[in-house]
This record gives sequence, C-alpha cells and structure tokens, in this order.
Amino acid sequence: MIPAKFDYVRPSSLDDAVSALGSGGEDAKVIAGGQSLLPLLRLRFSYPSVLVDVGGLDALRGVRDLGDALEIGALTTHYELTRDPLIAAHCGLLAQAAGTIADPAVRHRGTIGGALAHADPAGDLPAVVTALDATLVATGPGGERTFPPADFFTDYLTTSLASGEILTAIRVPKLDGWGYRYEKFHVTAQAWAIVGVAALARRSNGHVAEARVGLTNMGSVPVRAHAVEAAASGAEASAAALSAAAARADEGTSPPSDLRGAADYRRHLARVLTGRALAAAAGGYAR
Amino acid sequence: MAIELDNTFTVPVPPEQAWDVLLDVERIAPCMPGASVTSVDGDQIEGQVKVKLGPLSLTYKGTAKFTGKDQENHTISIEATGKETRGAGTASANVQATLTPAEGASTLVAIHTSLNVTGRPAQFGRSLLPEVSGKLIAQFASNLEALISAGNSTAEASDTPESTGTAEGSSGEAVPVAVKPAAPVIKQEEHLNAFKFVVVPVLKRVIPVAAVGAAIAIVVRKLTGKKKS
Repeated sequence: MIPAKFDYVRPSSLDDAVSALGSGGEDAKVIAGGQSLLPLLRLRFSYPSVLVDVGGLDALRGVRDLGDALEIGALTTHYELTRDPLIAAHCGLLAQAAGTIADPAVRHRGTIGGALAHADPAGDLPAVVTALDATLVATGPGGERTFPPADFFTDYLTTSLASGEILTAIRVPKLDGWGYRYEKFHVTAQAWAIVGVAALARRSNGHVAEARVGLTNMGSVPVRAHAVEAAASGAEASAAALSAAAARADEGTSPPSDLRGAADYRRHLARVLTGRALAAAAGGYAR
Repeated sequence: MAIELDNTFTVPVPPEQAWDVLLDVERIAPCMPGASVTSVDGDQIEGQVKVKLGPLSLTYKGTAKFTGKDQENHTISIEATGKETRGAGTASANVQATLTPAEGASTLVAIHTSLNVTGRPAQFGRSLLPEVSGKLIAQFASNLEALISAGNSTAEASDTPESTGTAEGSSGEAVPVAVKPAAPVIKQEEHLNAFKFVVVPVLKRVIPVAAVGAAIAIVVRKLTGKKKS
C-alpha cells in the first residue's frame, strides 16, 4: 500500500520547523530518517496532514562533550552512534545497542531522536536511554523543555512531547568505567527484540557497586527493573548472586502476548537475558 | 488470533440497577471512547469508533448486537464486527458482561472480551491489537463505572477527556477518568443523545491492514519463516 496523501515541508531552521509543526496542527508529524514513520504511513495506520522534514537542521547533528555528560543531537543516525569516539569512550552501551538495531540500511537512515520520539517499547534505544538515565531535550513554541525517560515515555508510541515540539538532543551522563551489555533476543535476524535487556554495572572489589537494568518489550513503555537493581547493587559479582538478582527481572512488568511470544515466555526471557547481561556488565564473575 | 481481555470494576449500586444501565444502549454507547452511533435497531447498533494512539489513527465501522440477556444471572453478551474504513481489515469481538452482587449493596461488573482478527497481524515489534484494544476496553469500563455510579440521569456525551478538555459525567459530576495525553482519545461528537456504539470490532481492523505486510511475510515465510517489516 502507498501512504495516504500528505503535504511536505523541509524547513531550514529549528524555528521554522517548530512553526511548521504548529501551523500543521495536531496531524503534523516530524520526519527524520523515516524508518519508524514510513512503515506506519505505508500500512495506513497513520494519516499525518503534513510531514515536517527536519533532515536539513544541522544544529541537530553531532555529539558534544559537556564535561560530565555527552549531548547527542537528535539527528544522529544509529550508524553514527556505533562509530562515534566520544560515545565509545563514555557510554559504550549506546554504541553496542545501536549496532543491534535492524539492518545496516535502517541504521544509516534511522536517528536516535526519531527512535525515541516514536517510543516503541519494542525498540532498542528507549530501554537503553532509560537505563542510562539520559535527559531528553525538546524545543517547542514555548522554548526548551527537558524530560527524564520515565516522564518522556508515557505510553505505547506516546511521549510527553506536546504538539509542535521537536526532540532536539539527548544528554547522557558519562559512565566511564562502568561495564555494560545490551542483550537482545530474537529468532529471526534483524527483527525487533522479543525481549531485550540493557544492563550497566559499576564494579568495585569483586562486587557490583551499582547496577542499572532497562527492559525492551516488557510493557507499554521501556521499564527499569528496579527489583533487579536493588538486588544486584552491593552484590558479589558471582554467578549465584547475579542470577538471584536476575530472577526478579519481570517484577512490575506487564509483557505483551503476541505472535512472537506469550507473556510468560517473555517473563522467562527477561530473567535469562538479565542474567546474561548482568554477568557481562559485571565483567565476568569474580573468582 | 484471538485475544482475551478482562476488565472488572465495582459500582456502589445493587445489581438490578446496574443491569438497567447496561441494557440501555443509548446511555452506555458514549462510554466507548470515540464512538458514534449511526443507527439503533432493537438489539443491533451500527456505528463507528475512531481510535487515536500516538501516531496511529484508525476508524472502524461496524455493528454490535446483543446476543444474550440473562436477567436471572445478570449476564449480557454482545457480538460485534467491524471493518477499518480507510485500510483493509476485519475484526470481531465477543463481549460478556457479568454482574455479581458485592458487599454493601454494590455490584462487581466483570467484562470479558474475546477479540478475533482475520487477516495477518501487522508485522510490528509489538502487536498493535492488544495495546489498542486493551486501552479502549479499559477506558470503556472506566467510563461505564462512572456512568453507573453517577446514577440515573440523562446521558450526555461523556467522552474520554483530552488533555486540554474536561470530562462531564452523566449527572454533571466530574468523570473519574484518567486524563492522560496517552489515552486513545477520540473526537467524539458532543451530541446530547450520542448513542452510537461499536464495542471493539474496530480494533480488529488494524490487523488486516497489514495485508501488505502479509504479502511480504508470505514470501519471507517461504524462505525463512518470519521477517520483520
């Protein structure tokens, strides 16, 4: 199927983009790489009246070092995330996870801003930024607003972005020295995760001093596995302790049942994958 | 692919009173978010439901029919079928509502919905159907709860409030509906007697829309068994 009719504008400045969105009304949509939006248009699940192409806004590209954090422009592609030296040095989880997204064609067009604004809980980046405690920065008619992930992802495919607001950057605190691992499980290559686990661990003296775990596709929004984090923090970096922590991965989640897996299968997957991700993030088990 | 959904709520009125409300199509129709009724013919209602969830926008047109009214056991059965108006797709639902007496002259209302989709599901990372239908039913149950609790008054269109709007209960009280921008709010016509009401069939529509994805999936299936879209 081809998309339904829509208008198209390509503003040359952020201000023009914001006003184009505003005058487009409720049915105006931002398009960047289009990797999430175009399938919706083609299947006619979505009927935007106008597409505001932000691809020309160079201000939204690039990764900047803010000292204790990195600021990643919303137009940064998944491919660029995997190759950027600042990201590799200070939040490698983002690079590793971005490398698991779909296929190279999608990674070269898809952007981090688009993936987050699309807010598919089955996408990889929402869970990753949730685990990273990143700050999402948006610009709208009222100026700039920032959101922590829990406030940004409000529901399936729904964010707190007001109509007329554009996600412009993602600020990620530097987690130098932390171990990390994004475990993504799917039975077909390049498919969405049936379940995915983003784990970070700060190690010290054979123990996990602090842990963060974000889950992909275990609810309508990406979720933090708080029970696991509590159990793992301070725990010995041993198989027994981390498995015990991982066993709590599905607490507080409401995984979907669909063609790819029933809810209880997803719960099982969450526990197993969290165990693997934690083990990897903890740098292997202490002797 | 059938999906089972369960919603329960309690209302502070005895079963007989809740029963009367449930059978009053014109009063409960507005409880379905985004519903508009085109005609009511005895036990059969024709209408459409518009659903908006994030970027998704779907309009379903169909029929809902009372297939069973057991006054003694306070059970109602409704059968609904629908078709998405702008894409391809069909869906059907069986809804069973059961009233049981609860403590203090109140009633426990249990709604069990069985959704059935024909055609292939959309090849998304997460099935749209459970999400969208789950929300619609939950919102419907929530609105119904408010309606029954508010007592017998003229039904006013009480749609799910949008983030900037206000909700009105059937007796003028504020409807205790969660006002979330994320709720699948639909533009419902604010008619005093808006009583068009399609249960859930709409949602089913979504699945078949993926006829395109299905064609691709068929090819892929021949090769590998499954593919993402």
